Amino acid sequence: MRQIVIYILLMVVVPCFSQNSDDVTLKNLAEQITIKATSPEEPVCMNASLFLAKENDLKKDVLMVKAKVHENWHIYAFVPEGGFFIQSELKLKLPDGVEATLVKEPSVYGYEADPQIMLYKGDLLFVYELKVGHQVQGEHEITTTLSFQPCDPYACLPPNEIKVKNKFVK
Amino acid sequence: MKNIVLAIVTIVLMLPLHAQDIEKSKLKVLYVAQNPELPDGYLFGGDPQVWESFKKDRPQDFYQFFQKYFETVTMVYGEDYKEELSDTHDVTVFDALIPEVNGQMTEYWMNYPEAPDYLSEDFDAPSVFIAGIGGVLLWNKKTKIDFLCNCLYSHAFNFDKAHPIFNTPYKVALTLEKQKHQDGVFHYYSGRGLSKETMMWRVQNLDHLEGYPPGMVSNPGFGDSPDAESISGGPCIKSVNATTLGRHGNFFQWGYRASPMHLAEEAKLALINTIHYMAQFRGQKPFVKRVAPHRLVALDDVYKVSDDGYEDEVKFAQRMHEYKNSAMVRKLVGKSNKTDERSLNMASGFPDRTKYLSNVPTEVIEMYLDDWNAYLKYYEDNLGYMGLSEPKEKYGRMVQEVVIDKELQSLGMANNDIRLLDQCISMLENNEQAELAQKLLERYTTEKYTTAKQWKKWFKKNKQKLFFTERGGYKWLVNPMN
Repeated sequence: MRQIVIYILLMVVVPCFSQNSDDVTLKNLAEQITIKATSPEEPVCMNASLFLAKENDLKKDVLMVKAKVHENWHIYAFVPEGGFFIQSELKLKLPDGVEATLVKEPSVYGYEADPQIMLYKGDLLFVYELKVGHQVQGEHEITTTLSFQPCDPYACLPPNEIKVKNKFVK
Repeated sequence: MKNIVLAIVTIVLMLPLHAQDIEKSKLKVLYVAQNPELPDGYLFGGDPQVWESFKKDRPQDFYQFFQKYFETVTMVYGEDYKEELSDTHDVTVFDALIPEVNGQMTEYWMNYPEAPDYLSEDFDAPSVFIAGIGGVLLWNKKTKIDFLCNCLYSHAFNFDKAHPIFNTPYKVALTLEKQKHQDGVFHYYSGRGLSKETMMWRVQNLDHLEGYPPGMVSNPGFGDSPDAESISGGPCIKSVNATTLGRHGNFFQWGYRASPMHLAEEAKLALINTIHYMAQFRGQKPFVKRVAPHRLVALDDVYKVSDDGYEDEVKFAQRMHEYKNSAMVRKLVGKSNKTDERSLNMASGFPDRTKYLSNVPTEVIEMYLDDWNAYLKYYEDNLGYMGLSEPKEKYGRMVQEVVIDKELQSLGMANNDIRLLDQCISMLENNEQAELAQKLLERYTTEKYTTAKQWKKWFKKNKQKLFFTERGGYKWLVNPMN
């Protein structure tokens, strides 16, 4: 009986701890990603890093995309169809045999001028879990592209995009 | 018989003026059109399907429209534009991205690695820019046409009916209709006390409600120098002071997106009049560069600290949180809809008044603390003393912000009052607070004289030509055109 209770507890509690420890691991890994300082001339900076499961005590290979939007600036997380602004896009160019699933994305903020529009502000973190097929061997590359139009209360800068390439070896 | 002849003559005279009856102007017009086969050159929102349905007809629509009013109209696609073409035409109407000054033609306007130059330093041909293309092509020139927001709807307000673009050579009827202000205007200091509706002039017959891409507005303070004029505002998500139609030097911002097929009849004439109006400005490049925001910007911030402005923020936060609550309850019973994911991801939190105090001097905060309405009153009472700070490190670089100039405040004279210059010169002459006087003279002019005599001579010579510009850096400048 005791063993059954212990077994049940383990089934419930361990996943919770695992989830929490995964979150902590991801947070620690995110802190390892460096991005350059933003400025009014360059209000959005981005970097991406690949963390292989076996090297980082993770269940799956993970691609983390970290971005920062300068104080008082925003980019558009969601714009309704036909809306005024340019919705940001995060695209991954993956090698054949690699799939990515977005498992974590940043919080969004409402836009006073139009509540249907959502904004990204401040520090952003996107986390993708990767599924790498067995046939994927050798050196490969993932290209991450963030496209956006940054605006502050007084102007919108021209649209821009930032590309980051990450290599990995299987 | 005589009556029949008279009746026929009367009927003929009453017939509407057909295109073939319009006396075509001898002005030569160059229209720089967007090639329908190429990407648009800059991204501007709206429904792509709606835009694609009109895009292919746009060049011919403009071209044929101009041909009705001008004897000589040339159309080139953006990628084929050369500045020499503007030299052989009286007015150029830009509606497309053009090659960069180095000859490179890019697919679309991009800020990476840095925003390119499209028109040379010497470019002084009269030009009309349709919708946001002016903000793009003139970006590096730092004109008053500054791409504040690609969010202009279909009407205009706050315009001067006597302006030539509404009168010459064609009299524009300017039929007004009651329209609601957009919500955005009420979030600004200038929106306090505005009525919900106002009389507006319809410029175009389609707007974003039908998926039509929006037009462009520029920042307030557009007309604060003699080389510029703000001719109208219009409904957008920005403040009521944003400019939709305006001229800066030889450049005209026609902020509305619609091609003639979607322009209201009255607006068509206004566009033709604009071309006529601009022909006189060859060689008159802007002489003030935009380097600073208008002082109202500082009021917009402290307005959000006040109870009225903060209530607005709180209501907005509540509204957003209600979207989230609705999404959460739908999730509880497995009835989430496609927008719920976004709502669930929304950051929650009560708005923080103090984030709008970042430019308020510490001693003012110490004085007022949580007497939230006092800040706005303080800034209103001291509006004449708003100027640019000394460069300071903020946000990772050296910036100048609109702040209260305490030294000016101690003198009790507004910086946009020309008597300030006179007073400072007198102080120098009498050696009264000479250091302060010298500092203020240098701060609010571009001169570096060192003696009262030199300042006095300059002031006497130029007094009638001096103007104060905020967008141009909070300076008294000499009008070179006067």
